[in-house]
Amino acid sequence: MTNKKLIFGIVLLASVLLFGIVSAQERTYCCEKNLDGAWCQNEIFIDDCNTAYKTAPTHCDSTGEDFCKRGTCIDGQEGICSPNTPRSICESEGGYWENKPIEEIGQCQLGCCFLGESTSFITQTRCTTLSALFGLETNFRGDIQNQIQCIVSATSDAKGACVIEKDYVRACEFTTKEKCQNLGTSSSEGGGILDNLFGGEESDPDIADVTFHEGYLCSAESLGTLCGPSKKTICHNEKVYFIDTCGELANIYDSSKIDDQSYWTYIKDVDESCGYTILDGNKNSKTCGNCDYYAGSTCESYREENNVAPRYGDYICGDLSCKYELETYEHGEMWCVTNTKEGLDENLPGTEHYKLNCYNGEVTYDECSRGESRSKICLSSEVNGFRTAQCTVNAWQDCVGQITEEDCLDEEQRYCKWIPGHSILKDEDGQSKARNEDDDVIEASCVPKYSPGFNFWNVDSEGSSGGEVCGLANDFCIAEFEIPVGRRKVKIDPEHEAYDESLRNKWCVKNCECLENYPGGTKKCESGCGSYEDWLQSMVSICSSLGDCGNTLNAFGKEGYFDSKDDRGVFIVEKFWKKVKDLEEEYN
Amino acid sequence: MIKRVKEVNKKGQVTIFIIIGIAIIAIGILIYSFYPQIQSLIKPGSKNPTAFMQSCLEDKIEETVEILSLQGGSINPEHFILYDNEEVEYLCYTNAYYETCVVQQPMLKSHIETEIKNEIQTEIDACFTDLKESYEDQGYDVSLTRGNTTVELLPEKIMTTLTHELALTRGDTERYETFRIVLNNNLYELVNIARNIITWETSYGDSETTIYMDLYHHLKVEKHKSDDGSKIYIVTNRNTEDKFQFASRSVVWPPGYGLE
Repeated sequence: MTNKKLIFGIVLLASVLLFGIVSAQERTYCCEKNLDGAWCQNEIFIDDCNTAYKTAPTHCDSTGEDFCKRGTCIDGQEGICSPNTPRSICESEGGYWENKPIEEIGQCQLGCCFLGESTSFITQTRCTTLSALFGLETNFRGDIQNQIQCIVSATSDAKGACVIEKDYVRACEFTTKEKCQNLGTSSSEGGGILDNLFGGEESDPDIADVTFHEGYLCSAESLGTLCGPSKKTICHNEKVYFIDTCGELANIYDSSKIDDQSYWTYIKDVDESCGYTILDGNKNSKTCGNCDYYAGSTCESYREENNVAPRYGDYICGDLSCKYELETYEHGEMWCVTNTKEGLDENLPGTEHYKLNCYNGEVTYDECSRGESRSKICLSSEVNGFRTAQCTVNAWQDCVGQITEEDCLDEEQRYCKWIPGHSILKDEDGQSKARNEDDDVIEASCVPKYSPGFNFWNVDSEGSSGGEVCGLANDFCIAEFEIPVGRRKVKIDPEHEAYDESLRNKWCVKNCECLENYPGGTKKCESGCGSYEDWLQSMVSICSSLGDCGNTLNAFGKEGYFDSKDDRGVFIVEKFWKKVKDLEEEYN
Repeated sequence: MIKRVKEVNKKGQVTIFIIIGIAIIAIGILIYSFYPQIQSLIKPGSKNPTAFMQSCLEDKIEETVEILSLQGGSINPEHFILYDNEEVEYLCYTNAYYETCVVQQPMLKSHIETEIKNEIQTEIDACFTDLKESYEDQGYDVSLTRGNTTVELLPEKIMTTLTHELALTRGDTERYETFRIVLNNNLYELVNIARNIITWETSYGDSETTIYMDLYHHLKVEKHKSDDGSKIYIVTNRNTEDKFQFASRSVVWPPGYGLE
């Protein structure tokens, strides 16, 4: 009877789920716009639809092309495509709708667009638009198929010193060859370097003599420009660079090279510069400005950030790590926390999972499970000491149905834990369905590793989940005894249920573990012979793992308010002494 | 002796008067020669209608951009969630559990451009009226033909182009056909990130914010959740502190066993 009840409970649970889906399907109306102003929503009641728009007594995905069926919305002018967009919304905004997934539409395919020294992963149409905007030729590569590869593909044109000579004055700009060649021309339009250098007079490109020296810095003595070495630095590409006396970019800041003529003559690559092999990205180095963002450092003003002062200039490779609750996290590290009060077990009622991120010296957080009661959880891992974490779906739904430890603990499929000692999954005869490796019947249960939450307080008002879910852990434990019939020396006081526990334990042969204070391992006991405490702990663990069940503290340390025995998931135990009394009365 | 001193003084006074006279004539010649430039220095914009319009409109454009950036790209969001006392529009939404969201604003860039354009239209008219009056007060004969307004989100800037025809006549006639008002703001980039996040939301029901921070170091992307499973994304440029925030509700899991 008991086991049938349990099976009935599981069947009921599945039925309710199934019925819920089926019934929702039967009573769905697709509103082109609902009363909240949302487009293409399925509503149970037609009254929730905005009557000024279309409605249909079906799911929105079944409404056909002229309504809420999803396709791809194309902004032909901009070259922007939006997937999973209903036709009505797309066309109301002036887009062109295609009844195809985005992958099947040629003009929506993304590629790498080269825009000068930068790249953008966009459609070809968009690339053409942006290139025109920047006055560049369209350079689009459809064979580059992801954003990271596109960013990595960005190339910078060779740079050098662009020397502009006019009226025997040799000015200089550190730039690319192309820009240098354009300088003379652009100067006639005003606003160029020549204007700055020669007092804003109308410059004549025929008069200015422009020469490009690839690989040279403006401060190179051999070029004979106005520019020379200085002790000033600036931030450029997240690193600290020297600038010359004209304010033009020089090489990466290296205090040991301040008087090195060669260092102020030729361009040095990043990998030829100081501290390239230092793994910490030269954080807070007084002498080297070769910062590395991915190693956790970036150029910043030492004055603003109260860093160590560099030997020269105002900038330094600042540390991007974060401090959180007295612990230091590296830039890019992620970790999990919950809102559970310190010292308490996690996943108590009210627990929420958070993923914290350390980026740019700042801790931000993602709420994995808010509003979803631990349907999503935060999982962390560590690779070579670098901590990482992610919010992921709490795959617990089929835990209870697993009968072997191997299946239960298969984390590629589900997040469950295996609790030996008691099985909540039983066949019609009340026998445990759990099996060991040799396919022998064992007493064990598979339950969610991260117990999900639910709105248990709605159990009565809405006939909802709480009771049914927690009820899976309910059980009747029938202890069996072999009693010497006719013996009357037993002290029985049925009114107060006082009894001799030593005799009770001595006569017990089966399921003795559920007898209060049973020490375990008595002589006649054949099965279920563990201690009462262990058994109780196992049952409580099963109970609380199923969800927000049992009389526990909540995440904030507040105690539950139901009767402790009921709420700890303790079951109805047959009243042993009543049975003894009945037996004795029968035989006397 | 005293007479001699008086004569010397007289000669000195005459010299001073001559110098002052020359100075006054020189100043007069200078003013005559450089009158337009001096006038424009005294009254900025009076000889430069574009600068006048830029100065007249930029605050309004900036204010509009700030408002709609916090409201998911709409001045009056229709379907929104309250977050930090802001009405944040859903750019992708489903009211159901388990389902991916339906894109609510597929043409986000164009939508924002239209929103800005509509919001500043009254101000544009008022600014042109002021411009006209300003020139009329200076004795110009002003002819103004109202035309179109376009707003474009571009990399690093928001450009408002007014194709109004303005003719200023005072002796000569000067004609202006296009006024470009530029606001330095990289909403373009923030909107592109938002669009990308929406693509993830509509395909997978979620997005990983750290990807964007890895790729674009100057950006901060935050994701906050509300009690109904809605997400509020906040994309911030760390350098300028410009931000764009919007909401999405996609693949929401019901509490517990999903029986409610």
